Amino acid sequence: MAPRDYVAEKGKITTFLKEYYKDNDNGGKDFFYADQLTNIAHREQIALTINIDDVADFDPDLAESIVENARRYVHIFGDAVHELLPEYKRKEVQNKDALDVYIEHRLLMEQKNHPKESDATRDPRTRYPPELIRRYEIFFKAPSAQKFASIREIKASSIGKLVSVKGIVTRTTEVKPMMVVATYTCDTCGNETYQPISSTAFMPLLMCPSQVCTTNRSGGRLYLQTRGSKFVKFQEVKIQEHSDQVPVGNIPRAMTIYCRGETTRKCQPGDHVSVTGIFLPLMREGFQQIVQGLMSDTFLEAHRIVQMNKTEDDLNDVQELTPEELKLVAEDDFYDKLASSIAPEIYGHSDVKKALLLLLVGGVDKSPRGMKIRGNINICLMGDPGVAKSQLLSYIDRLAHRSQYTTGRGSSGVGLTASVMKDPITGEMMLEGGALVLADEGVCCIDEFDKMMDTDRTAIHEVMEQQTISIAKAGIMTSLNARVSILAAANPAYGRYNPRKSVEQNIQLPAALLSRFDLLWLIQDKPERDNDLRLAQHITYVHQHNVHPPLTFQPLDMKLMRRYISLCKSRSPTVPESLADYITGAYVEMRKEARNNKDMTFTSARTLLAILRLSTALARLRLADTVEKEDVNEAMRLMEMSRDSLNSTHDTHSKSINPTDQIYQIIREMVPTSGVRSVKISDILETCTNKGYKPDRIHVCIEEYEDLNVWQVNNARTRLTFI
Amino acid sequence: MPSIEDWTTQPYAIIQKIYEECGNSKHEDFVQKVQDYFNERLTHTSLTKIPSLNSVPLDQLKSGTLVKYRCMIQDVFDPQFCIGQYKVTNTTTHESRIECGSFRDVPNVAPNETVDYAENNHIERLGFYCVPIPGDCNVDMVASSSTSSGQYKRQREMDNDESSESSSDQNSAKELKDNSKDVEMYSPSASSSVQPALHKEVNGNTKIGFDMNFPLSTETGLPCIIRVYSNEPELRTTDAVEFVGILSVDPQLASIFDDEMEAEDMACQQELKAHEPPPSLVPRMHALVIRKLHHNNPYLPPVPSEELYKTAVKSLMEDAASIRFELLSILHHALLNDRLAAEYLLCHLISSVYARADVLPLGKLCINLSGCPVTQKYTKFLHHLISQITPQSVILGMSIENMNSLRLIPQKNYQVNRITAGMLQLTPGTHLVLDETELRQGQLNHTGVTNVKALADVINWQKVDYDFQWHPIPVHTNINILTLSEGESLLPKDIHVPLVPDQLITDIPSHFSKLDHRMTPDNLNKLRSYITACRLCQYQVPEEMQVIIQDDFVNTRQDDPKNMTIEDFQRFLGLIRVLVLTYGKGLSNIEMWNKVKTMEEERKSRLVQQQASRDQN
Repeated sequence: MAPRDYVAEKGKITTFLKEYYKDNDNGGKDFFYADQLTNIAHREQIALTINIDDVADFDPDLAESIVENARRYVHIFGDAVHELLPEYKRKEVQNKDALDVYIEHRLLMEQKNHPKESDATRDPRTRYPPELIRRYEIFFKAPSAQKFASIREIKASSIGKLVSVKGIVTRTTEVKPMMVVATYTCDTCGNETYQPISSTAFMPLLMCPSQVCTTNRSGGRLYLQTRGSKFVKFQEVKIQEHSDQVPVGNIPRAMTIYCRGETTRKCQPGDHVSVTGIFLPLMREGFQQIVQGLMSDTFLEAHRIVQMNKTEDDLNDVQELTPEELKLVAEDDFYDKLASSIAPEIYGHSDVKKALLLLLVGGVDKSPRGMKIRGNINICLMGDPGVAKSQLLSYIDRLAHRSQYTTGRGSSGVGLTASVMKDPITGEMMLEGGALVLADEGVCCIDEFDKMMDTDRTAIHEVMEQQTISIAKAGIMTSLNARVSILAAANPAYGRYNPRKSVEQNIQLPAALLSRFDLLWLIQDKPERDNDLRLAQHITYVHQHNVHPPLTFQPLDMKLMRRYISLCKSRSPTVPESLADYITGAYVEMRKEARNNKDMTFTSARTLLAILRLSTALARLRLADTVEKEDVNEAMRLMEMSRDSLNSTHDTHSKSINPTDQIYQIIREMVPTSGVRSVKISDILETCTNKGYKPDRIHVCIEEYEDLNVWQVNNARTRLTFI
Repeated sequence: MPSIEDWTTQPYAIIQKIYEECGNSKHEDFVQKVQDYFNERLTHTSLTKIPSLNSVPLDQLKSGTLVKYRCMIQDVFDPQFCIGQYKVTNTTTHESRIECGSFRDVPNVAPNETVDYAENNHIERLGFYCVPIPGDCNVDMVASSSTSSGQYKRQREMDNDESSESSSDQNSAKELKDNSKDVEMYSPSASSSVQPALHKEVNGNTKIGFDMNFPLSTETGLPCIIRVYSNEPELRTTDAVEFVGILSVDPQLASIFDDEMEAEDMACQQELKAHEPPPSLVPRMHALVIRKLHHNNPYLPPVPSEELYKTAVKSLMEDAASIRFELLSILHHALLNDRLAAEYLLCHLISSVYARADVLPLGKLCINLSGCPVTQKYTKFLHHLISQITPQSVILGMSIENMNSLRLIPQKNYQVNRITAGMLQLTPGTHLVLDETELRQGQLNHTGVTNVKALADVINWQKVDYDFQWHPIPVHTNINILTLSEGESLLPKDIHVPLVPDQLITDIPSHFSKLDHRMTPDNLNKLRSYITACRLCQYQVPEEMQVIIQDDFVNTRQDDPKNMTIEDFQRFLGLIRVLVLTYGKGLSNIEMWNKVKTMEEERKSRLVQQQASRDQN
């Protein structure tokens, strides 16, 4: 390859800086870099970030060579800017610090001592090194097409190139000053000598190299001038691969980053960052080099550090979906397709999956007159052990942008909400967020919800409705945001779900907590020939071929789902006036129904909110801006289905439950299991009236079953005995 | 044609020759050529002539020669970049030559030569921190079979004696004939001795406060840092690997410890110390040949896909039935004449995770034997027996103190940038015996709770979540866990077998001593090889069997879904697989299916009985 003509490159860069512009909205031209140069000339800006995209616009070849040989181009850009700056200076700049004064004096001195520029005999070292006078820093911003690599993708071949990596910060040093140019003065001739430093260590100069000293052989000694030297801020940062970048079973790798000047103090341990920088070998000097032998350390010279949180993960992720992808998602049956793509290896349960899909999308938060109404949807899955509840949970955990997974048994209230900790070193109090806080704006999956201690569970009440966590502990009073959707899974209290008992009895959770769930779903393990056979085939297939059998449909890619869901979340549909009546009517109907048949669930104002939430989530899913009647109907259907899942077994026993049968059930339950199977009538009356039945109904029931010879009533009609 | 001595004693000369032949070709090709060259020459017989780092003491080995090393990868270091070639110039004659920088730590220079690193040719190499396979039960045998290491072996035994006396109470140690096994029992005193060492390291006060990082703190042996120059095969933590490579113990490497740099950056220093310990403690090896171990049994040829292995296994499996009978009767005896439990234990011994469907590990069979006698160290005798017939085994006493103090989960230490070993860092195929009979009432602290959770994770999912402070990193395991408990274990289990011991056996030590005459080395080797071979056998379910099994499932569920849940079905399929394998066969049949069903029925009836008798009380 022919050596590059760097002088020509510099010329190109100068034109680029001067002439690059973007059309602005007013039809004028924004000289993007020229404006910044003016700022720099006036000492109002320090960092000059060169966007490689802009360079590529201007000259694609140049952009490519910058990426390939970034270190060299930093210098060329520096030189170009240095030469351009005087042109952009429009006013006198006030001196801001000691170094400015120094620079000014030096420039004056230079003009005085060497009025003619062509003074070739001077020792280059006494000329001012450009680093000393420059008060700006050049940074590159990687082209947006360049993907963020994981640390393990950075290989030896990347040395010297501009690379972008993502990772989690594990360690940062304090910011220290690092010497860039050492300035010495001679004790005999008073001449100043400068030494630019480019590596971590340097050998101080001892003898004065000035013309005066060398010709006189006076052997002037040099002394380091701290005030006259130039320092930059320096910080060393260690980053480590994020867990999702690590292939299964591998150990995350780490990388050292050197931050200089404006890139320091951009991150703290624990932050997720993306770093653009130049990957360079570290040249050690002196003794250390011998020790190192053939090995050389490497580091990334940071040019740009951006903090990010998990929600706006990849910049790529946030990118718009391409039309093809949208087409793939938005087919006619997209709702079913999306739902069945959730945990595709689990058969059936399509309604549960739909509900989970809505949970991921979520409704819209509203705050009319300061009152906060949550948009997040909470779901509780109940069911017999081994019906893939945990699998559904862990899939959602993986699918959600931001999520936390805990089990009820493993987390205390403190672990879920937030705790106040005392820092062992400084003695300061600090807040430490628990799972719910960490899952803010995401999903918190809590497995084995029923196994949680009651005291711990109360901590969740506030979160589920108010979406905040209040702390009043050790002098710290604060309220933290916890805008989470809770997805809980619970096992029935006695191993198996007893359809004769109510929900509260079955999972032993208080009604106050249960009512906060928008949907309660019971997944039961019921024998059913076709299903069982399919299940058996599935399992034998897995055991035979070590993989899940091929699916009959093509599930959507998890990444695509994630992007689609985040696209959905950007919409905030509203409920049109015309639908309000319809919804209220439906709600009133539901209340009436609930009152009429003794139900295992409850219908309250919260139910209405739940319907609203579900329907807005559905509208979001359609990427629509208004909720339609269909959405409401589907939301109610899901409600109905969840209700059915709780009641269905009950229905098979008594198709139509009339009050007489219900009273009979109550009486049956009152019968002692051992001994004489009899109950006092007065007890029956008391219990049944408590449950809201009129006395005459109870008497009708007693007579009816007496006629059927189910039980006998003694003559005084005080005691009832089963036959 | 160089003789065998040449390439074992002077590998650098050969590498240099290949390097010159390669000329300007890519570095990967060069590494491949070097590996091919050595691979070709390493046959089963020539391998035995290469000294092993496991058994030969370091001072008897010469730097720059070929050695072999069987180990587990404990930590994977960040890749290093080093200089691919350098120029050596003689200061007197001014002749210069180009040397290859790969496969060495320090440049090859004579005193009157200078090195020029200017050639900007960076290559990448990986570093692996390796430790001898934890819980390796072969060590003694391998050592005795290798002639040069008699002295070392004695040394090792002495070490073991000392530590065993300090770690467990002396009487019990004497009771067991081979007390070196007892060392693997964890007692708080043993683990506490590790603490000061760690402490020192953090302070950085001691010059050689280097933590050897063994997963089991009572292990001895030599860790080693292996440098690997190619990405193939992919090596992961806890893999069992055999390396053949060039030993490098140049004292120059230790000088990092001496240098008195003005404490420039403490963190950096600590990290350097952890990653570059003195080679006298942790030698370096530049790997030329890498072989992942499919099993750690020296009596079987190492690679299952090779003819050699196939013929060996074939001849062994011809009397599979008789070996099975023998093993079963030994287990039967050891389990106090409980036939059913012996069958289950046999199945457990040869179970192994053979695949993962998504997150679900297939083939695991973790057993809980409840009703074990608490007295007379029964659990230790049983573990001793298991350690004799399996390649690697570890026992963990689940006492409250142990659970609260032991480090089970490996943890990333960011201060020195490496993974502090945890006890659950075990190679695939290790048998872990959990002794729950030691558990008493008490309070578990935070460590205790996470430890119990970690054990449950291994049993349920065969994975360990390494603690990386900011987030856990799951690492797959393949550990067979046998829980011995008095009542039903608090940990999850695949199968719970209540032990029904023969009431007549009262003196357990003498009961076990009756087994001694059957445990001849020959017999043990056979049993060991049988277990290893069974684990690696292929297994198939024929079409017609699949239909039978599926129909059975559906029909049983029709009668009562409680009798056959999905878990039950999974367990049946897992059981029939291992049961078929114990007979040395690869295809299931109806007979086996029925046997599994009867076994399960018998076990379930025991559970019901136990429940009933508990209700009566």
